[in-house]
Amino acid sequence: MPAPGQESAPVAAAPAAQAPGTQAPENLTGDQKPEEKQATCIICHQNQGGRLSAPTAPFPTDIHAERGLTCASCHGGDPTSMDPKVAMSAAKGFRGKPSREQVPEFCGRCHSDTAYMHRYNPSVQTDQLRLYYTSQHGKLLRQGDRRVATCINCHSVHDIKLVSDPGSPVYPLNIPGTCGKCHSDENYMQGYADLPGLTQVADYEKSVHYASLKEQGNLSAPTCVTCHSSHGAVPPGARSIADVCGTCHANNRQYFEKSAHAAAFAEMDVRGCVQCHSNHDVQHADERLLAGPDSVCMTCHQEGDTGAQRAQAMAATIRRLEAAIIQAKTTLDEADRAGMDVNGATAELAAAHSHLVISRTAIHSLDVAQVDGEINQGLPIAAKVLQEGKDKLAEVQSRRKGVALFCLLVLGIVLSLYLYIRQENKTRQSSQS
Amino acid sequence: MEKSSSPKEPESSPAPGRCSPLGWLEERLDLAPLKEFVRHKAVPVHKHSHWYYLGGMTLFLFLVQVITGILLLLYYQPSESNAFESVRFVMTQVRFGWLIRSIHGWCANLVMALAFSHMFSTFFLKSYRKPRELTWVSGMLLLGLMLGFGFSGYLLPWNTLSYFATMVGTNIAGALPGLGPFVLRFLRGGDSITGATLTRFFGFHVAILPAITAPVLMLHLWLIQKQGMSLPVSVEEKHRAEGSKPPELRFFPDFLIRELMGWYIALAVLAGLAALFPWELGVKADPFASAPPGIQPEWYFLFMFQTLKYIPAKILSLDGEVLGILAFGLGGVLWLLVPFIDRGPATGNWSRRVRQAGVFVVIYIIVMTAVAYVLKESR
Repeated sequence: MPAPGQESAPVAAAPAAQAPGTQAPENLTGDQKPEEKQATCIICHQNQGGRLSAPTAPFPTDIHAERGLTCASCHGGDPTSMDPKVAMSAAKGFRGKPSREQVPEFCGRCHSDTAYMHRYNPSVQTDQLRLYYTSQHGKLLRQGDRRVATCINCHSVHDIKLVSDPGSPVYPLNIPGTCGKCHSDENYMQGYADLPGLTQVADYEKSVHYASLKEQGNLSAPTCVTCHSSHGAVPPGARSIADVCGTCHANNRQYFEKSAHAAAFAEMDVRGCVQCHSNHDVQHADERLLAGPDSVCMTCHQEGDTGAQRAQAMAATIRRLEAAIIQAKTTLDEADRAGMDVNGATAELAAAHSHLVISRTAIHSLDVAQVDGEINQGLPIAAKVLQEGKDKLAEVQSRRKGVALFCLLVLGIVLSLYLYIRQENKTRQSSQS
Repeated sequence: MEKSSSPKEPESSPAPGRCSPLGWLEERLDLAPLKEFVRHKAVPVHKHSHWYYLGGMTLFLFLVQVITGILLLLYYQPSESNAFESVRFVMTQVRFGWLIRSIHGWCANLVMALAFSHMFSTFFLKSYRKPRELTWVSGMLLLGLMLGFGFSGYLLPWNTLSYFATMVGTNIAGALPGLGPFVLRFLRGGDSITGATLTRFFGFHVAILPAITAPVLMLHLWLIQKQGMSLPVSVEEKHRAEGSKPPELRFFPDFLIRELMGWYIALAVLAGLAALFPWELGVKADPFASAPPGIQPEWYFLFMFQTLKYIPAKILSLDGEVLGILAFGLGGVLWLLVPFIDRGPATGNWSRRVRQAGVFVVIYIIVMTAVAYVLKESR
């Protein structure tokens, strides 16, 4: 039974078309240890210099080497022979260095073989090759474009790391740089006129998504591949943008799809979320996008029309809750600095903040009543927490007054003792004299 | 026989004025020698006699620690899951719990500061000289026990700072050559800091250390009563030359009243610190979290911690940290044995060198502690 990757990918000429039993890489057989098998390749290549010796240095740190694979596992040949003619003979299955067009199948030979890959990781994906040929990169490679990205452009070669390894070019924090290597290079991207520009990565690095990734270390924050996919990378079409963003922002999508905007945007062929939030340079969204100088509503609506009035009403009510939360938080912080335990109150305030977040989500419904509903649930919580904070500050004051009284009492006692000692000294001196 | 063995005849009529509790006690225990001792106990008065108050102040603060510690013990639960929560409960739910816990935290530091001051004042007044060698040794043992109280108590709230500071501290102990791995496992109750370490430290803090401290403290106090207060060298020589005795102050009530003033002031300072700067609880320890940057032990261990940082990793193929620990160990032993090292005339060259070494130690401790604080602030 062919591996899943072979069903749709026309790679008949590639080794992947071979029967599964023969397509698997060289397994570790015999008494020879993997490092001994590899050593013969490395021993010769280290002495070659230049590009022939280049792979030998990083390969020991490659994930393949760590899992026991050798040079011959990918390149074939007979690593037990020190004779280059034998070791690298076609009769011994030597495949040599793949051409650029052959790279996807070269890697897919193992990575599309589910049975083989599951020996190393039962949950690993094995459809990368199939997905790759659905991507813009794969399609252009098929058309003979040798400049498009293949496996090795993103994953590197001979020093490949797991995606979870911070040193990997496809580790979440490194993905913008990896995509940007080509997509931000003006010279390299010449000839791809259908791409929107070269500023995607620079724009992304100004976004709230990147801030979450880089500054907060949130590795699940969206990167290039979250919206564009990795192996099946394509630009999302205008119609699918709401679905792409809605993968994470599910509530926003639901409200948006039920709103009057959904039909109107479709009719005008306006790109859903991106119209208001931009695509790569997505900024923190709050009520400033509704009303005020940065309002995105006013790019389409006129001052005083129903849309503008709703936007202003929603912004005003959301700002009320936000102000109440900030006031409560400031009071709690003050109590916290004074040494009071505010953990319970802080947890309560988080509930008010949830209503604030939901209210900001609910604006996509364009329904003022729905937004008000959330705000009216959040305001009493914020007010209660504010009162708790004030109570704690009052307790701090009463503690301080109590201690001040105690100190005054102690001062009185100390003074009395001092006066007693002085009196005693005088009495003693007069009796001595 | 029976009648003659009892201190007082039970059927004898009570003497006039013996209806008071003291009279009742005296009838049974014969307090006359004790009263005689108190009546005659005196403290010499001279220009350095204010240093005499430090010992009593340290004892008073130690008693505050004992009392507040017992009160905390009523609520504290020494387990990984409950320790932090129980301290939080004390601070938020128990009436005056915040005050008791804050006083315990602040007092622990004041006790250490006073114990160090008392020790250095004794050193520079050369009060350790014959016949008070054992008083010095018992005092040094008490200082070591105080450090043990501080180290074991620091972990008990089970917050992030205490967790990682204990990790650093036990790692240092574990670097000792030979015994290190055993000491590390003995302190931690395993390879890493877990609930077992917490239970063990709790045991040290409330049972083992108090059980050792009580007799050593009794010995220290008994020696002081037995030998009386030491006179500084200059005062002793002056009066010897004049053939006179220094003026004296009756211990009871004159000295005690003056001491009481210091105790009251210490109590007011403690209450003020506890109310204005409550002892923080911090964040519950998470053994899986990474250590926060700039983790440091308590201030009284800082000079050693900072020194170990400056020692190169290798010194002549020997581990630098191990050499540092051994040097501090040797320094501690020499300091303990000062009365036996400095046995010559108090004004001799050797004695002057011992004094200079003491000045160097004080300056070194102050400078290294200050450097550690400054570096932490700049980070």
